[in-house]
Amino acid sequence: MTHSEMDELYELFVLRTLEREEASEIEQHLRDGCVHCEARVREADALMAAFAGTVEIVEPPGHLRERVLSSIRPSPAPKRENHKAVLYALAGLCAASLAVCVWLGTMTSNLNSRLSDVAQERNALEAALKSLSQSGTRTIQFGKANQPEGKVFVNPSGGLVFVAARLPRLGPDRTFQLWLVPPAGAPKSAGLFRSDEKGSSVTVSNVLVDPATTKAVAVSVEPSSGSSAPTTTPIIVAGLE
Amino acid sequence: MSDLSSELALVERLRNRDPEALEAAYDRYSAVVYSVFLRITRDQSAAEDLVQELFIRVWTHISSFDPSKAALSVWILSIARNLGIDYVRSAQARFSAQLQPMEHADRADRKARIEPELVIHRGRTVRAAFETLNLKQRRVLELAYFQGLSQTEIASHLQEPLGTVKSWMRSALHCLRATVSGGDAK
Repeated sequence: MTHSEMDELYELFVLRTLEREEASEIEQHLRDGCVHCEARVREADALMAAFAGTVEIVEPPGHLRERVLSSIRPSPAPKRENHKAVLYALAGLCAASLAVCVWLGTMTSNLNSRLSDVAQERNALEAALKSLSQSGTRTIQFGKANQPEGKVFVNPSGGLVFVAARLPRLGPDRTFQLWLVPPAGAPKSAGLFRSDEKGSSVTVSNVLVDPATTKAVAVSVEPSSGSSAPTTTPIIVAGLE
Repeated sequence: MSDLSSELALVERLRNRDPEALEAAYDRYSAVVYSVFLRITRDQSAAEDLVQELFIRVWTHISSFDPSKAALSVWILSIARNLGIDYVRSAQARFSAQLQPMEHADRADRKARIEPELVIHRGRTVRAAFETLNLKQRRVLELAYFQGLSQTEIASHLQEPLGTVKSWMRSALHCLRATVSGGDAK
C-alpha cells in the first residue's frame, strides 16, 4: 500500500474494522517507525473520538456514580483509637479485667467462626473433588482476554463446579448468581457466590444439570439476596452444546 | 485555567492516586461514555457495567497514558468504544436475547444536562459534518463505529457491492476530515 492508500484507511484502522491483511500491513508499517503515519493515526484517533459527538448524550443513573467510585477508590484507613477513651478504659482494674474477658470471648468467637469457615471451605473442596472425579464429568472453558475466564465442570448427577478468575469487583449490595439456561424458557438459579479480592471464585452447586435441557451456564450480577430471574445481562455465558 | 491545563492537572492527580480526581473524571466523562455504551449495546445494564469497567481501566492504566500523543478525552473514548465493541462481539451478547434485563428504567427524563463539546474536542464540528452526509454515508459510518463491522461485513449487512460500500465510506470519512481540518484552520 502507498501512503495515499493508507491515508484512506486510518480511521477504520483505529476502529479495528479493517480487513486482517490491511490491518497487518499498517501495523508493520507503524512498527517500522513511519512518522507520517504515526501522526495520521493520532489524527484518526482524535477524529473517531470526536465521532462520539454524534451520540445523543444521556445522563447515567444516579446510583452508578457511587457504584463505580466505591469499586475503585481505596478503602479508608482504619480510624485511630481514641486515646482518651482508652485511658478511661484502663483507669480501673475491674474495667480492664472485664475488657480482657470480653476480648478473650470475642477472640474465641472469632476463632470458632474462622474454624467454621475453614470447615465449610474444606467441605466445598471435598464436594468439588467428588464431583470432578465422577465419570461423565464434562469440562467447558469460557472467557476471552480482559474478561472473566475459567471453567465449568458439569456432572449430570453430581452438580457443577464453577471456577472463574478476573471477575469484576462488586459493591456490598451485589452478588454473582449462577444460572442454568434452557433452550427456551426462563433460566434456573444454580446458586449465589462472591469472588475473593483477586476476582477469583470456586463455587460448587448441587443443582442437577440435565444436559438435555441445559443449553448454557450463565452468571449475572444480582442484588445480594439473589433474584428469581436474571435482572442484568450475563457477564459469563458458557455454552454446553 | 484552560481546558488543556485543567486536563493535564487532572491526569497528574489521577497518576498520584487522588480519589477526588477520579470523582472529577467520572463527573466529566461519565455521561458521554455511558451514552456511547448505551448506543453500542442498546442495553442499560450492560452500559452501566461497561462504565464501571472503563473507569477501573482509567484508574489502573493512567500511567500508560501519554498526554503528548493524545487528549485525555480521546484516550478515554477510544477505550470506551473498544470496550463496547468487544462486548457486542462477545459470546455473552449472543445470549443476551435470552437473558435480557427484566425491567428497563425510563431514561426519557435523563437527557443530558451537559454540552458534549465540553468534553469531546471537536464533537460539535463532527456532528455538524455528519448531519451533512447522505443517509448511506451515515449508515456505513454508524455500522463501523457502533457495531464494529468491517466494510465486507457492512456490504453483506446492507446487501450492497463491497466497492459501493467502500466508496460511501471513503467519501464520508473525507467529509469529516475536511470539516475538522477546516475548523482547525479557522
